[in-house]
Amino acid sequence: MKIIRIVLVLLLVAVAAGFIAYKFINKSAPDLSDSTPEKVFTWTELIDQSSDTASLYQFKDKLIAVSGNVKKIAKDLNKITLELGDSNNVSSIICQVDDRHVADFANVKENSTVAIKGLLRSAEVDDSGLGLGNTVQLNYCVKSK
Amino acid sequence: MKKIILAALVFTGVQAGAQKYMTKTGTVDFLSKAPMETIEGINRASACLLDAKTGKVDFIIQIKSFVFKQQLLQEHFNENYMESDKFPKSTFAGTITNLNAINFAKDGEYKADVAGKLMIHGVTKDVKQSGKIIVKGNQASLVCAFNILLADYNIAIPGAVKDKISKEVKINVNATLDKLK
Repeated sequence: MKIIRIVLVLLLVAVAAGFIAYKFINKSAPDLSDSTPEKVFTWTELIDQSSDTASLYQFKDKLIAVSGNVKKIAKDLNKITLELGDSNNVSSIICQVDDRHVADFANVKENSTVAIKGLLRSAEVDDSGLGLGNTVQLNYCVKSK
Repeated sequence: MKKIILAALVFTGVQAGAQKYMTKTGTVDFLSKAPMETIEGINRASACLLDAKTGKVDFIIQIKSFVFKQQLLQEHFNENYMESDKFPKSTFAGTITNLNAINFAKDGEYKADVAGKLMIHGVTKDVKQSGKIIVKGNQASLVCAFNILLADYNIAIPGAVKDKISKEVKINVNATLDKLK
């Protein structure tokens, strides 16, 4: 009887460990809608600061908010990517919208202003000579409240 | 009459010279299919520049901008496989080798052969690939799919997960470029 009890306890522990491991492995990326950004920029401030990558990278992989003109909306199935900037400036900010929040951007139009927040992934100065301008990239973007 | 012909030639030349297309929102995704697990990452922030006059094509892809469904996969991808702090971007610099077969002035779907240098994880390899270019108005879409071997780019698979990660990865490229004014 005691052995059965031990086996049952071990089984229970194994199932619990398996469940925790499964949840850990399949944990989805954090939803940033209720998180507070570390810094708030306008798109021109962010582009200006992108020339000083070392300074901007104090916010790398951290949540920042940016507001500005929507230069382009790229839609692909149920995914949206926004490019903030203006037609007179090749430098821009690329925001990959979190798939869970695509519906929040349904009414956003090109040449309108949007306030958005996301994880700062990269800032690149155009030193390639390709004429791409400076580019800042944000991931898991959601609308700023 | 000579002046008109000369002006027309100059105008045509200016138009051809201005035929550059660009996007910063191109999509590059990869799929690793192994018996135990399928891993998929997508990057919708790839920069691409195409010169329709010379056929030159450039891609710049920030590795950290790949998005995964699972957070853990994203961490492993950046830290263990791609070492994205050390090798933050992948690039492709190449040329369309059958440029004469593509008419950027006429809407349509054209087969495109591309040859160039693909850099992933700090390793550069010569590649040749066929894809298609879809011209529609002031846009040109580049569509291409190809496989790479992780070993070719010094991307090591730890023994503990060797059954979960395929040695070969399929990469899909789909970028719609806007003609520059």
